[in-house]
Amino acid sequence: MKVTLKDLTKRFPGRSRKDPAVTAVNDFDFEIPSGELVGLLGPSGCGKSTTLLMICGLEKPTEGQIFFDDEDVTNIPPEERGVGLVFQNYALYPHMTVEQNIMFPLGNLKGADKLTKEQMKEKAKTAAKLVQIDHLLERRPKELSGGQQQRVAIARALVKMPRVLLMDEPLSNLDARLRLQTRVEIRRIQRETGITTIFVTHDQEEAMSISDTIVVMKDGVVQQIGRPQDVYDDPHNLFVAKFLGTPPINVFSGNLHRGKIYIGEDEVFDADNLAPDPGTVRPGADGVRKGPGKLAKDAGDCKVWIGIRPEGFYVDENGPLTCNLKGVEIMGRDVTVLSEHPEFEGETIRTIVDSENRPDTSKSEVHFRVRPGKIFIFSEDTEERLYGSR
Amino acid sequence: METNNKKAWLYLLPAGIFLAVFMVYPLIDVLIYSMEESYNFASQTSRGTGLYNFNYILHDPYFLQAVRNTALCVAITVPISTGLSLLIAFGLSSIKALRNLFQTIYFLPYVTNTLAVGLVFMILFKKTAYTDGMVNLLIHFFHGPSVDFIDGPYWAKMFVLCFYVIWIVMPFKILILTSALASVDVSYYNAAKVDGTKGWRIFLRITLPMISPTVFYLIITGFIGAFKEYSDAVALFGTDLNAAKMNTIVGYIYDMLYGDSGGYPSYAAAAAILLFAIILTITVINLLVSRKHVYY
Repeated sequence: MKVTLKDLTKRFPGRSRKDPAVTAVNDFDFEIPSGELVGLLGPSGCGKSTTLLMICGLEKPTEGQIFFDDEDVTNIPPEERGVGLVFQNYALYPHMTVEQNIMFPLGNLKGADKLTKEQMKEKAKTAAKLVQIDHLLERRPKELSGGQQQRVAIARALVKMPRVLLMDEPLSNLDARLRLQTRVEIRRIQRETGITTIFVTHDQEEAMSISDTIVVMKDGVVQQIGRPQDVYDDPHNLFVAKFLGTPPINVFSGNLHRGKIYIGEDEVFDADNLAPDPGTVRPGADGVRKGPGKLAKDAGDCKVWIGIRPEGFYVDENGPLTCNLKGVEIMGRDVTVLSEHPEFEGETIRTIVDSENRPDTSKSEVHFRVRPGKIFIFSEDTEERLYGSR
Repeated sequence: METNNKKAWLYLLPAGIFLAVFMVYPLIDVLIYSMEESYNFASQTSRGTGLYNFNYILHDPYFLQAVRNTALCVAITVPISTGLSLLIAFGLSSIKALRNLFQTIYFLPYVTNTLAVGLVFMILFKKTAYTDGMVNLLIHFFHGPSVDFIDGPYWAKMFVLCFYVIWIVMPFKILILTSALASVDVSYYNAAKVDGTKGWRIFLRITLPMISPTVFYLIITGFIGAFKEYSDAVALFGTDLNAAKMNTIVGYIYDMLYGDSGGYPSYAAAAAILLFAIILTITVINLLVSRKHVYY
């Protein structure tokens, strides 16, 4: 089932006259291909859950339309849309057994679709098998672990074979180990059923690891849509660059001068190595715009934000970027170098280098060279990306 | 461990002493009274021990009348008041506009004095030389025959009593049920809605089981409260309840102790023991039934 969102907007009225209306989702325009696993990603309050609830039908959009294939479902109530929803807290009925929970949606079927008790049990069994909890059917939710409850919730959402499966923060109530396990599981279930699945998360790692496509949102506005790797390698603005990746990208304040990039007095990169903004059409703070051309030698000087991925550094005696060395964390194969720089936006610069490439810890300074492809230049005021390195 | 135990007992002592003096001792005393024949307060003597008192009250038409009245009152008021409260609480939790106003209105009877409410009911139901009472005016309007609810036929008096009891116990139940309904997580309802569950099925399969501990609590306390029914009957029919044939078990106990025909602590004690036995039985039955239908 292809899901199309067209200019989807949700405004919540203000609580009082002084309190202005809140725009939770602004002009969401997106087409989700059939059978994909899509992650809606963003910090809390960015409108991702509201988007999910609108697709589900529990919230009504203020403007815009939602299509399942070619059917306009904008004004159709949730039960007629054929969606399955997995809640953040699972919302399993505590007084029912696992089997009764999974069967509950089937009990609502009417008329020709009405099932006998045996058929319901059969379907529940199939759904339970799919999520591998068929040995727990007689238990109550209370007697299950968090991961098992999660599976029951997915089974309940799947038992009616929905056209679209929606998941609201499916992993946030699980511990770290279970989270890793369950996200693989979600991927497997989605592949097996082929149901178009949309899930919401604030955890970029989670979204990156299992999604076919991620949608990064901020303050109700879509920042970027794309394959996880593409979005990571080609962030359209500073927010997206900062939001993806652990450890996060290192952001310096710097200057463009005569086609060269300076952090403080250090010339870290040459314009020859910079690729222009890919120039894709996309919604931005200043509306739809195209990126500039290649950075020319005579491009105007300006102040910029310079983002460098942690893996974009390597230690080099003659490297142009000089930082104060604070320490080294040995992680096995890799080494995290902690350092400081006056133009750095945060406290500590975290860079990841090979263990053979680790700096001399007896010295108080470390020199870095920057890898191509890992450095991004953002406009200081719009925070839109100007250039990226090749 | 040993010293800790002693300490624990020491801390429990104040409460223990109070319980012993004001609860345990009187309870045992009542049991003893109920077994002593013709106990006399003044001389502190009795004519022997046995089950004579129980035998007497079980053949006393006034006591049997009181048991019948109480049982009828319990059987009518507990289900109706609980069901009606559930309905109103559900309605209150579903509306948004004027919810606080309605909540206040429904809670008013709770803060109103029993006897004051009795007066209002008199105005509504009592026939006097000047007026037939508001309810009779209403009946006349629909061309019905007038009924004397206070001094008239038995069913009319019973109707007023039950009406009164239901009206006075409902506010508390509505209050408790409203908060119980509010504490049901909204995601359960959303989940049910996405699955296309119809309203009545949501109520029966989700809401009711989720608030079943509260409903059960209200049923148990409702039963106990209704069995101890007395003051409401006095407020409506005056102190001579035997004459009005509207006595209750607690009323009978009071009459046996202090009433005009009083001075029989042994009979009162025997009646109290019987009341205790009845309440205990009903509560145990309630508990047994609840095991199947209450989900904690």
